[in-house]
Amino acid sequence: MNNYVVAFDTANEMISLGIGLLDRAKKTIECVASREVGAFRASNVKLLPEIDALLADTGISRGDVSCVVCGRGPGSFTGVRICLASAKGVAIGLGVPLFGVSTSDAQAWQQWASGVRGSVVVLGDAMRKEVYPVRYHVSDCGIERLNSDTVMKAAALPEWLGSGSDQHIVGDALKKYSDLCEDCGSVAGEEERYPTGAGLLLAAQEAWAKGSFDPDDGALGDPCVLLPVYTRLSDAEEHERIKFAKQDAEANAVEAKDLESGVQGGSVIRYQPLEAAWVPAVAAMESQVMGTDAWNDAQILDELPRPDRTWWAAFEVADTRKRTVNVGEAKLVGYAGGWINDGQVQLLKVASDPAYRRQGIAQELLAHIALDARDLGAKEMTLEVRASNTGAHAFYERLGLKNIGIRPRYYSDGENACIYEGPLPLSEHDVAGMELRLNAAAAHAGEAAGDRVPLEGKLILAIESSCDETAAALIDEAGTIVADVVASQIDFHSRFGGVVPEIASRKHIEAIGGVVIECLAQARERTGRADLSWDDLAAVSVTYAPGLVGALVVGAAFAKGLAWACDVPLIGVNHLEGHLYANKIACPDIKPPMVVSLVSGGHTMLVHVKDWGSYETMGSTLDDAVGEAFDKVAKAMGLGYPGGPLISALAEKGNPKAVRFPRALMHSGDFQFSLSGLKTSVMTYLQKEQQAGREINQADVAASFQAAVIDVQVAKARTALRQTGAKEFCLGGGVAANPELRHAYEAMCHQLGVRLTMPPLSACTDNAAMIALVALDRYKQGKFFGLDCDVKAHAPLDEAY
Amino acid sequence: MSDKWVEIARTSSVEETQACAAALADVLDAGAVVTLDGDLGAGKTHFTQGLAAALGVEQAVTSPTFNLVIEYTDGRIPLYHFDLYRLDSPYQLEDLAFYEYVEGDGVSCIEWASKFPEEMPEDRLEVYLSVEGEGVRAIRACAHGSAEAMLQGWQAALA
Repeated sequence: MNNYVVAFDTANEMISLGIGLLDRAKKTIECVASREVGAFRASNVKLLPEIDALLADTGISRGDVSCVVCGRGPGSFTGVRICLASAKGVAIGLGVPLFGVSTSDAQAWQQWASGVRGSVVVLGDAMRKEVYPVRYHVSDCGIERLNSDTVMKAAALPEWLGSGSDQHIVGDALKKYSDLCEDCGSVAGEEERYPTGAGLLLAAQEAWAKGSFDPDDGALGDPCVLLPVYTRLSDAEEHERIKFAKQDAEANAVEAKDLESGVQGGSVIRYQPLEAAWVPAVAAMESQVMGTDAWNDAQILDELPRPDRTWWAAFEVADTRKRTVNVGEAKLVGYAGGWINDGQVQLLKVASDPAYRRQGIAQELLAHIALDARDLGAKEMTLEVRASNTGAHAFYERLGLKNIGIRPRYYSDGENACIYEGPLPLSEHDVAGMELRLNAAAAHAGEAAGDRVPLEGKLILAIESSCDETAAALIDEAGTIVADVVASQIDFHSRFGGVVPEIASRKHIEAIGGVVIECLAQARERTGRADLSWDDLAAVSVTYAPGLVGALVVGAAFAKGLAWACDVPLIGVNHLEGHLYANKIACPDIKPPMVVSLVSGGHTMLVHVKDWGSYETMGSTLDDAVGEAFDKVAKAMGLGYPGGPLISALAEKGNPKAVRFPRALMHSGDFQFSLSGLKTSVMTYLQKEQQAGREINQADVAASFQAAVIDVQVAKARTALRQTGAKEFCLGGGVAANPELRHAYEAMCHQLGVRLTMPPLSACTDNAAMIALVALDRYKQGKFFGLDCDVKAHAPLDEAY
Repeated sequence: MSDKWVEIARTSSVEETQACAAALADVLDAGAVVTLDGDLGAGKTHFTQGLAAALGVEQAVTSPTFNLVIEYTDGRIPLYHFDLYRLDSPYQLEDLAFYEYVEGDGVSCIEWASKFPEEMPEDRLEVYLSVEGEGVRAIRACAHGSAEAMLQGWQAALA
């Protein structure tokens, strides 16, 4: 029987590691080793090597590990995610359960172990002059937590702590705020400011006694479901709430423009935080459905700006392509509000339009409230419902809430309320509320659906998390993509008009375990080999650059954990090289030399592929990427996000010669691009026409803008082909999905006698199959990364790695 | 009272700009934040190079335009060199762990801080470099909060 638990925490500037020996009969964990290593901004680089070293020093092997414990924060968001992603990789690779403990609790337990008794306060540094405070009562029996995780202004500390009281204050926030705490108790020295391995193990032992830890219970310790403790929303969401709470209808209505109504027929329900502009509609529905307990405009408006509230609304939007909701284009069909207080969210309101019942709107609204509440530190939901509303009782019971009592005469008409309480009713989607795209690239690898995919040799797992897609793929040693899975986060970013890095990172940590496990399940199904497991891995590969650092690091930490657990090499892959290799999915026999046009939301470049692994960036954009320009122009035209498909659909009906927009650097003689001038010129044109009172033909503007982009792209590609003499031209990146661009390249290649390869649309956007293809080559060449490698925001293709 | 702009120096070569920055380096402590703004080509990166060299950094200091932040840890105090030029929104700062760096144990030198004034810490030294004609650069500074001492130390060192 495996008897050891490995525990670690990287929520702040210290890596804390512990190894414990389990006593299953007594349910105790004996600390075998506890080690703390300084790692400012370097936990991703140091964590796995430190774990490996500690096990080696104590003579314990991977196979002796029975379960993994990790600190969930609160702390640095990225730090906590590195800890969780690594832990998920290790636990999934070893096939053992994973449990989370509070970083603050671990520190309180450390105090207990050092003999401190009485009142203990743990203050975590939350950055930006804020702290995470938790107060404990520590006695011989253990620690008792007196408040839930929360975030607070550091300036409010003296008041919160109370003056002259007899308490011991610890935690890394003391580094900045010890002067604020001096009069409020005894302030810990430097050695008591971080969690310890021993503290983590004690917290796990306590969880064992309480039933939330069991080294032999895989379901209780499902590595996929464990998430960080944040206590704050992302900056973007916080700013959105502030903006939405403003009663300045004009400011909020700026983006609302008259558009041609839905072209595609049908409609779709979209969810968005409640905005002040919609309050009259909410109040109207209140009086329709809530009777004497309806709230009026003023009561609802008073709610919106409060930081401990979350309000969501459901809208019917006629144009199914639009992912954002604007006043004048949508109809309010439901809303819900919650108040987050000390670990619970109190449901204040939930209602849906009677004409839209039975569409799951109320449940989806509750899931959004629950998601915010979870990020703000709540674990449970509580609510009141009329005793007579039996339909609602059944609804809440289905969501897992329980009737725990009544509040007599709670409603204004004297009716009793039943109190329901239970775990947060989070959405039950497969993976973090995202749609999964399965085997899109694998299907293109030539196998007919339903046929068994033959398997040759071992498997390489590839992981991609550089932007807003969490993806995994498995490739065998013969180069067959056995399975690939992509979870797209687009629905979480679209209302912000672009990818929000912190939201992307949060979604990656939610999705990564599920995506990887689904990928293995797909591989089993497609090969008919139910016995496939992580033991069949030859290597783990991961995108290490370029991209959003916080997003990349989730994939990289997970990959390191998995590679370490399976004792196989780690392969780092440049994301851009993946886009070049994506052409192999469409055309396996493709051979360099070739010219590749890489155009996406983040990149615009022409690459001369001399050989696989040998690249020359002939030119790239000096300012905006093509995808970025599409997004910005679409925003200026009031079309929404993402701009590419919206503009190209509109352009189909327009005249590309209607407006002559500039073709920047068309004849510059080099391969540089500049999109920023074109974008400005479209905006100036829109403004001028508006000022002149002329009606703008949106379709003509879209077509003319698109034509200006395409003309330059094609002209430079033509010169590049002539100059290099390459006989192959390929595309990559999301913009390669643009039909007009594809047509233009077809015509160009036909004329030049060059073969054109266009990856299937699914392989143009980010996916892990393309990463797997690169990884296989690097595996054969023995090009491996150490577990101490780091991710990079930027990495030029031309530099070998 | 602080929050007033003062002219620190006029320089007429890259070397003079770097020497001026070196004088500032000597009065910087862990946690110091220096923001750098100014005309294109006014020498923001040269200024940082001078600062880095005086802190004892031996690595070559280059513009972090693409990497957004570069750490130099081989000097007297760690130097975190930011360039915010390519950022579109303050939300991207979260991704760079900007707040963790700025509140960390090093000196943060932030080019193009003026793009996101609200995200900058209260205690900071603002430095502005402007082109004042053929080869001449004016270096001005403004201290906020506790950075006042830094500014006085810098002026004294140059006097």
